[in-house]
Amino acid sequence: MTKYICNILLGILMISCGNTEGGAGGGSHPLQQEATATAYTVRIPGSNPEEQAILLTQTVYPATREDNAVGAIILVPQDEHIAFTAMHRITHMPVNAPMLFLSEDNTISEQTLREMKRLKPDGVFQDERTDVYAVNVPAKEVERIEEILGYRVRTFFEEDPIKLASLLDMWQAAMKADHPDEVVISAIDHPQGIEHGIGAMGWNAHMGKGFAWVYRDSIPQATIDILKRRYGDFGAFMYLTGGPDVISDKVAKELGRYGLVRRISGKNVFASNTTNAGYKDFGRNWGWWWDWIPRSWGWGIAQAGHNYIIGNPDDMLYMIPAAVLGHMGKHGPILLVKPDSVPKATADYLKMVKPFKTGPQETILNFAWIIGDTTSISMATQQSIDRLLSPFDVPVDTTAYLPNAPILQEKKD
Amino acid sequence: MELTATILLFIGVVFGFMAFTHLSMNMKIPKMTWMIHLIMVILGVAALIIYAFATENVEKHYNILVIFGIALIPGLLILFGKRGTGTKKALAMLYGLIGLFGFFWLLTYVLP
Amino acid sequence: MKWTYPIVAFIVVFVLGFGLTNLIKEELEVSPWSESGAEEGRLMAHTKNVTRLVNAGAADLHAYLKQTIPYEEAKTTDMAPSEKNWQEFFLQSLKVDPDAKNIVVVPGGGKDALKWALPALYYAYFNGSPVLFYQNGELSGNKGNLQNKKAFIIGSDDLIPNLDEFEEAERITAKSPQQLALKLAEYRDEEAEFGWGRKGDRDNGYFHYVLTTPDDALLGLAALSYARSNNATLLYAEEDGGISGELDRYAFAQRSDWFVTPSEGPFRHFWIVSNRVSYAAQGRLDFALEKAEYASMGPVALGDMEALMLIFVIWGVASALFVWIHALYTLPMVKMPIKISWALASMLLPILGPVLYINSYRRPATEVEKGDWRWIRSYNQQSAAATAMGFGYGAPLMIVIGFIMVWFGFPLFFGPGWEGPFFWLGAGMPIMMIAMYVLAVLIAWALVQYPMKKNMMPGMSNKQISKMAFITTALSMLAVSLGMMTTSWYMLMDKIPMMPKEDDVLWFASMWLASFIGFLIAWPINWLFIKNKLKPGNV
Repeated sequence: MTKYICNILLGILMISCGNTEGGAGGGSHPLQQEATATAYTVRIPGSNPEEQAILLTQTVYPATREDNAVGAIILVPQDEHIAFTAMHRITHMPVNAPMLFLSEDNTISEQTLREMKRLKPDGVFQDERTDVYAVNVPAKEVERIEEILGYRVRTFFEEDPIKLASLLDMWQAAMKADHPDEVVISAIDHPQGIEHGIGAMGWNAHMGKGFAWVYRDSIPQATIDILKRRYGDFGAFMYLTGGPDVISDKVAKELGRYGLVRRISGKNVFASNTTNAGYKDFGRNWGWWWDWIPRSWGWGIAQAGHNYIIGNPDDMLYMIPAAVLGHMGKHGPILLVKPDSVPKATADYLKMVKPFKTGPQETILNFAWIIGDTTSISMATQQSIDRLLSPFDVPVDTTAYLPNAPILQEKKD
Repeated sequence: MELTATILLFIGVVFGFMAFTHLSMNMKIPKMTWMIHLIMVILGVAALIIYAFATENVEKHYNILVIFGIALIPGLLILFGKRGTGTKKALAMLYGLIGLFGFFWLLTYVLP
Repeated sequence: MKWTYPIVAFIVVFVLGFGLTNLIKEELEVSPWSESGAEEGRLMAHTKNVTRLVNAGAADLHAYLKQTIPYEEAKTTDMAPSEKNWQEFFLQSLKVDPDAKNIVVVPGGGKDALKWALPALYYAYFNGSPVLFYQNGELSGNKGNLQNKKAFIIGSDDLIPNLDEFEEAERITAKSPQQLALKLAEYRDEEAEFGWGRKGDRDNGYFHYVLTTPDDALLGLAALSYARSNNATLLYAEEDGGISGELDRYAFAQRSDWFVTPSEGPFRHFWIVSNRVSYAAQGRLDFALEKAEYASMGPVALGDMEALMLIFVIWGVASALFVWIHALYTLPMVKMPIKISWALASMLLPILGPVLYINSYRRPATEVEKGDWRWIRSYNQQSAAATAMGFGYGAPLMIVIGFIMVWFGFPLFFGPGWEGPFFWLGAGMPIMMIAMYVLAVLIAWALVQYPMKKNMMPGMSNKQISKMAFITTALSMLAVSLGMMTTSWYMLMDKIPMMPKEDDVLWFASMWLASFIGFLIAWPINWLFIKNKLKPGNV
């Protein structure tokens, strides 16, 4: 019934209060040709982190009205650890912020500034209507944002990512009047610490839980402080991203003092992220007489009908802002592939979630975003992923289906 | 100009509200009160019209002018019609509600 | 002194009136920023729920999709579609299923026929239905094995008449190709297995749509593969690049809701193949399909809970108007401050307010002094009236302060100094609650309760009056707050998954509900005030 009322109202309003006509939308977009769309995947073809981040905000936020523009914008230098920490804690509602990068010389490029203008942040009302979260952005650039765009900026300045995690934890706790008791923990001094944790970061960008860093063999004081701040019945619930080779068993044991420790890990970075996509932890957390709040962590996706964000482990600066695709739109976990092939772990996972026809006029469908241009993930790999996502059979050698997709707009009638 | 119109109209709203309070207590409305209301509203609407012509902005606030146009009907009836207090009260309420709605609509553009 | 009451009423009406107008405006706007730079600087045309296949014509698009959708199951014929060969293109692409239970009969011939035929061709291609084209009184197409199949004769009356050569036939037509496409999207004949059956109230299907304009129907045909690979239904935008109210409504009905996390299925997707569809339309569709939580269904769309709460707020406004108008015309012996407080209280107490109001004045009254009337009421009714006196000014003021704070943003205090068990005192919600209480008490005390008490008890000294007014105001507002704060915390922080903003029905509705509960809690507490003669209950 409500839907009918809604329908009638909307019908009247559409006619009376605005329209959607306008210039042809298929105008000239410089990267449209590279943004290859297959049946179940669409490529977002950035060729450097700055451009990738802009393409992502353009995908997620059309900005034709307040409700499809951003709440705020995260601005960070091109530093994997800083960006990773910021995306973990800032993106999720109520902030609703995508990430943009400073250029390599730590200034705001013209293109990024224009995109910031286009995004028209609404401001986070829980936090003084802040429009921009500038993490380790030079003061001169912050001033430029305030002067040129007139946005309200909150600055976080902390060179050490471990302490930054603690600072953001305090800020988030104040904003929500609560600490999330689930805390993701990644290794800062392992060369693949971020790669193992990128999927878990995707969940935090999607759900806004806690995050802290550890060393492979020890726990920094700032992280102990974060963990001590949890007020769950039995402390924190910790999710270590990576096996004992990434975060040692010694650290895991020590962390056990502050709550319950779990691992989200696989043999390699690909497997760690497929584990993450299927991982779900739920159960008791906090109860008092009348009400109870369970813990809930992880995508837990083991069936068809979901979306994935797929990228290459060598391009973490491309993948970190891409977590915004798990925050809006179809949402979904991050998976990793190699530029020229789909590794076994990822392929096996995608085979598990393969769709099939479910009704005479229906099929459950999967979808995926391909992050980066063809040097990050080749066309052939995109096509293999498409095949794995499809409701159609996967032949033994997926590379047989391929590639040579002509570029749209190249041929004329 | 948009801001000027808003300020003028706000003063108009305040005096309009005062006039309505008098009317609702069956008191005679002081001449100053309704005169100020009238002048401010006229100036405010004039400022809006100038804005509509002068601005390069896409939004020209025509919809607000239409809403004020509707409010004008009961407004004129109060001003020129010879009616009893009871009817005047009803007309004033109608005029006030429509006028306020128009003013609020303008305010949604002006406030940050 | 008598001016203080209307000033409070003015503040309340002004701020809440503005808030509600802003709410209405933001829900009505379609695409206000599309002309002021929303598309500027875009590097590619895809958005999260809408993929746009920018192309240089049907042949280009067809060749592209041949490569990117290489599946045998979704293959179209190699030749590129054109206005001349479109029937042939379709028949060659179609793989007829001998077990299909329906025949699709559409107009054949020129471009106009294609416009009307295309939505049905999408389903026929998906389902493997034999297709017959009608042109100049003749049928052509898949003529073999038509027994025991129900025919669906589709298209405008001008192009295709009612044909009687079929055992069983159903006629489907509409005023325009756009409407026909929408009709087929929703239509389902389960027995004959015809139609997509994607009605607005279907919340669990993975529905994809191909969008083009009738004039660009050929591009839709070139994208026929999607009908099989993605079960895509064909829909039409308007020729001017916009979308009709009907399509907008349909797209909003396709917005799916989530219960646990937004990553749960299903999701819906649009594939735009006509360059002519505007960015504003694309933005609108992308927004329409954006998944939302069940309670509010997101902005613009009306969620179930939102609808219920909206009715509550509307009844509140109606109750206030009723009480105000009724009091204005029929109760000359009631003083203005009392009338105002009844009207404002009724605003937050839908139905209950007017009931209590009528119950308070439909009884015998005595004139204790000239112009000063007292009504004879039970203790219960007296405490209701006394509660309404304080509540009428206090509760709307609290909402006003809350609204202003949400509008300008909560202050936030955090950092090393704020750690420890009381870190939450730096958070916005607690600050808002404290500010709501403190400021509302101060305003109500200075502008309402103090002058009211002074008027009623002329014998007392100013100091005594102000002290007494402060204590009764603070206590009675505390009673209201007990219910109001807990309910608003429960609604905003716990029950509704995404905390609503100032332009959300649920923000207002939560405050309305919280005030209602606040009144119910304060009512029995005011009984004590009445018993102890701290408040008058019979004015």
